[in-house]
Amino acid sequence: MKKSKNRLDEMQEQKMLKIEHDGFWIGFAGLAIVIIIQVLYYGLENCRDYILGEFIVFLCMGVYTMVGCVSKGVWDRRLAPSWKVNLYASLLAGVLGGTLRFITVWHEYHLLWSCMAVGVIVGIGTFILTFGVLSISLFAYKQREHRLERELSDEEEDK
Amino acid sequence: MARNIAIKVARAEKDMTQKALAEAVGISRQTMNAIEQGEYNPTIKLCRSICRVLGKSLDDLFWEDENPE
Repeated sequence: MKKSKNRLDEMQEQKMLKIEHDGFWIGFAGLAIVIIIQVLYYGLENCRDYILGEFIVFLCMGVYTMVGCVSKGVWDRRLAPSWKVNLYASLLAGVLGGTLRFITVWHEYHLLWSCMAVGVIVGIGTFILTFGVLSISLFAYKQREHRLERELSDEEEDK
Repeated sequence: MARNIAIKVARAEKDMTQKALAEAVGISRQTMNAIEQGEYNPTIKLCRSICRVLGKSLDDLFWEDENPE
């Protein structure tokens, strides 16, 4: 099927992109909030099947953004591509993941030390997993950036 | 961003309305107005189209002195 012509001029296109950008992040944050609320309210075991759809969409949005950014050699608007930043981000993810798990387990068992142990284990697991994924992404990003710059240098030499 | 008076003057010289210029360039009147008001920074491609239609150079329409007196 032939793609219809873009009826927007450049300013309207920019406005549209801004609207779509905001819509994407509202959807992304909204899904995260909805998933967290359901997990906190019903407990992870009880709502696992019900949040599967939301979780898959949330995961797809995250993976698409990450792969898109890495393939274009773009990291983040504000955060620097460094191991230190990744470490802080992973720590934050670990604390959030651990706390969330502690609350959901506490909801069911009310055993302080056991629940704390579960929270700490999940927190450490989340930290390791997040740091691993971010490290792989950072490595891929740096490789990609290096390759793009090398291609540019080759083109300059050709001219 | 400062208002672009030069486009308005060049348009008046050609006896063109904002709408006519927008149509000639292939953009909406809303965008043309935003350019004249200094609310939108057009791409170099669009700047060249505007210059072509108004018969002016980029310098005539889009150059701004750093220290206007």
